[in-house]
Amino acid sequence: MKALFMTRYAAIVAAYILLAALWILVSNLAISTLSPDLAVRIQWHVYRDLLLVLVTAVLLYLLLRRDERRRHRAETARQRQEAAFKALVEHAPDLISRFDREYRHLYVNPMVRQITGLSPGDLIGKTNRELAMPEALVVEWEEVIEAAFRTGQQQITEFEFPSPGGDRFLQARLMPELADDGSVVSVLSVVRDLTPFKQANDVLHQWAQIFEHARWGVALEDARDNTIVLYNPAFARMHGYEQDELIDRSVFTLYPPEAHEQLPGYFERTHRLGHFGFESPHLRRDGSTFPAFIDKSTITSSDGRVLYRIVNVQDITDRKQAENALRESEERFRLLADVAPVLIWMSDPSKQCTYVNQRWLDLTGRNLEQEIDQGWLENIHPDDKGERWQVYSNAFDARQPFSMEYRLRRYDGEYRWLTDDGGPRFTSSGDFLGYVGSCSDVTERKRTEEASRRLNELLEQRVATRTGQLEEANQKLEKKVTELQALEAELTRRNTELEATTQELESFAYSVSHDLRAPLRAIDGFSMALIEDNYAEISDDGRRYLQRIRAASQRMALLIDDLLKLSRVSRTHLDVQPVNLSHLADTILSELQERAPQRQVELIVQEGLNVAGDTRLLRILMENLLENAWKFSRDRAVTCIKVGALQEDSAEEVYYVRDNGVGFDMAYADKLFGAFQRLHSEREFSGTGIGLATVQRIVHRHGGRLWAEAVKNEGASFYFTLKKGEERE
Amino acid sequence: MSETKTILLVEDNPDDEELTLRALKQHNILNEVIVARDGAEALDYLFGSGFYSGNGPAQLPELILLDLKLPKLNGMEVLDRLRSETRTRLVPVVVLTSSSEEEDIIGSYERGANSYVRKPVSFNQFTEAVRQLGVYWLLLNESPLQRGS
Repeated sequence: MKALFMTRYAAIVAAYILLAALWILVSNLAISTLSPDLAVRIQWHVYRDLLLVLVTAVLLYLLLRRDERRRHRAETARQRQEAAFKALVEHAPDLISRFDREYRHLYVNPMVRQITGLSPGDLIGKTNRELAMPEALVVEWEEVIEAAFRTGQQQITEFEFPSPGGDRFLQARLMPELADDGSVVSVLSVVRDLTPFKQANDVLHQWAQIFEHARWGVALEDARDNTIVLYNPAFARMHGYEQDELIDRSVFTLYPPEAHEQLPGYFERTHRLGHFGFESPHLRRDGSTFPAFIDKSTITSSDGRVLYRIVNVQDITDRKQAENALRESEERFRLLADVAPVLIWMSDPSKQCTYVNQRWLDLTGRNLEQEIDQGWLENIHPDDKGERWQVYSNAFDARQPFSMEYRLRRYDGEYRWLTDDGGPRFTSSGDFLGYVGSCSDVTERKRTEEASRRLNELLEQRVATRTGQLEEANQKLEKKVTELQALEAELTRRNTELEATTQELESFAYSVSHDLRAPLRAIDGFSMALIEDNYAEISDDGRRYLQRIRAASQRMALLIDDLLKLSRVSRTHLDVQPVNLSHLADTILSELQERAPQRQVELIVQEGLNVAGDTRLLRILMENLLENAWKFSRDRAVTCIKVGALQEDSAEEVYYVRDNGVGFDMAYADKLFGAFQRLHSEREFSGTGIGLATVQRIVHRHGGRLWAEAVKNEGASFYFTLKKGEERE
Repeated sequence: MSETKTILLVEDNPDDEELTLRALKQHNILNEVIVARDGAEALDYLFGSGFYSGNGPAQLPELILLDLKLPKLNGMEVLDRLRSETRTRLVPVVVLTSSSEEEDIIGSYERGANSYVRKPVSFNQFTEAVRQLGVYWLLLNESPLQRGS
């Protein structure tokens, strides 16, 4: 500007010099031609110069006047401007202040009162530090002001300030003010209170967050052309679209074609009601659909025109599935309940019947409407009704299961006995739903019970009668028993006597047997001595007689030994143990064979004849039987002896010893087992006649039986049994 | 030999006594045989009491032949006494009796009899038994007495 002015001024001066010079030259030329006279010319030169001065003076005047006018106009304008600026600054909505190099306030507008509570006068000439502003703020401001001074660049800072009316969110712009030389002389600060914007922004931000993160799909539709304006990520996800992909697309894009027909109606209702919800399948980008619940509400202009629709979309696949499952479950229950062989009922929390199954309806011959609520009570037997209702009601109030019996009228009028078991129903969360119960027809059981009861009574009566008779008989019996006991005592006494006698007899037999042997030994011994010492003096007959004496004494010794054995059988205590009879027989037979190895024999002993008995006595038994068999078959070319058990079904085993010897005449069979009884002469077969008596005693002591069969000259069989496991004295 | 090795025969039956002596003699068993007619006499002889009190304790016999059925003290009681005395504890005792009762046999062995022989009725068998006894107990058997004293 200055340069421009300078140029203009220079041009004016140059023009003036040019015109003035041109004038002088031209006038000089004219004057020189006007008159040759110097004086005249000088005269004319003076006139001319005076004119120049006059013209110059007029020009100067005009110039000066114009400048003066201009300056005046500018001053006025400046003053007006300044006043306006001041008013602007003073009434600005921002806090405006100016800082010098030492951070002192040079100027502060009245806005400071609103923010700090201080008046401008309180601040001017002071630093923030002197004003006891918060230290952090002081430091921050000093840094920013310093930066503005140093860089000459505008600085912007945002900060919170603890105003008396609450924290304010402020933004400060610091502008350096430059001197003509470009140095910064002061810093102008404009502080704007952004608190309301910040709050609105925060709220907006929160809404945006809600919108962004909502699980429901949320969208905004333009109500005028049914296009989508805005939607959240959930909405995009739900439909399989990218963010922004759907913007400006038609709302119909989201519905399968079969739903399109319905939509205008839904929109219309939404617009009319302001809010409307409906279920409809929604179409995904890939062409698949899902069941959705759609909720639309309107945004209207001030004059009531609908501008937008806010749309909420919820994927209700799960709910639909749950509904289906529930429906199926209910159908299943009804099916089950209807085919169940029992009567089933349900009631609601107010004790009213809500359901009975087909079986119930079949029984009463009525329909569901007749049975529900209190209808079912109509068919209960009048005698049962009151009491049973009380049972049901009491259990219901206590939420307790119950069980009761009552009579229900059948379609044909007959009353059937039912047993009814009921219990409370609860939801999974524990809410009471009412009762459910089942009934069975127990009429037949009741009848049976009744019959059974009557039968029992009858039986008891009979038993009582019979008991009386029995008691009478019992008394008689007791008398008899007393008599028998007396008899038994007598028997015991006699038995004791008998045992004593037997004992005496046996000790007698024992000592006699002993003492008898000594004389026999003497007879034999001295007979022998006689023969040896006096051989020559005794005649042949004498020697023969002495030999006969000796033989007789030895035979008597044999008799005594056998008698001792017999008495021993009776005296010995019976020690019953498992005995292998086969083994025993084998041993005895091999001993016999050793004694007569020249004999041809065929010995057959059945294996595994296991019995229970006294080993020693059974050995004596087998010895006697086998020695007999051996003895009486000695004349056979081949002796044949068999030992075994009969293959019979009878409970007791029958053992036998069989030979092919001389046998005996069955006519004398009864004498066979008597002591000293013999069926053969001593000349034929030696023996004392005590062996079989001993055998019989042993068999009897074992609780068995003994018998014999024989055919003369063909052989004999001896049979015996042994009572197993039981000791017999 | 015959002076040192005596036999004590305890036998009440004179017939048996004579037959026993005869049997011993027949088989040339010439040891001195002292005969006691009952149990008490046998103990008197062995311990120098009663009838034998003047003599003091006799020299122990090489063998005692003991009948069971004896007057006064029977054979079992004699055995009990012999085996309870240190002096006679080891003397060989052969029970020679008519009994073949099991309780007699077991009872004798339980009381410390060294052998049990039943007297056979037949004299031939009897002398044979006596001969075997003599041979065994007087010749073959090593007596504990000689070693002990």
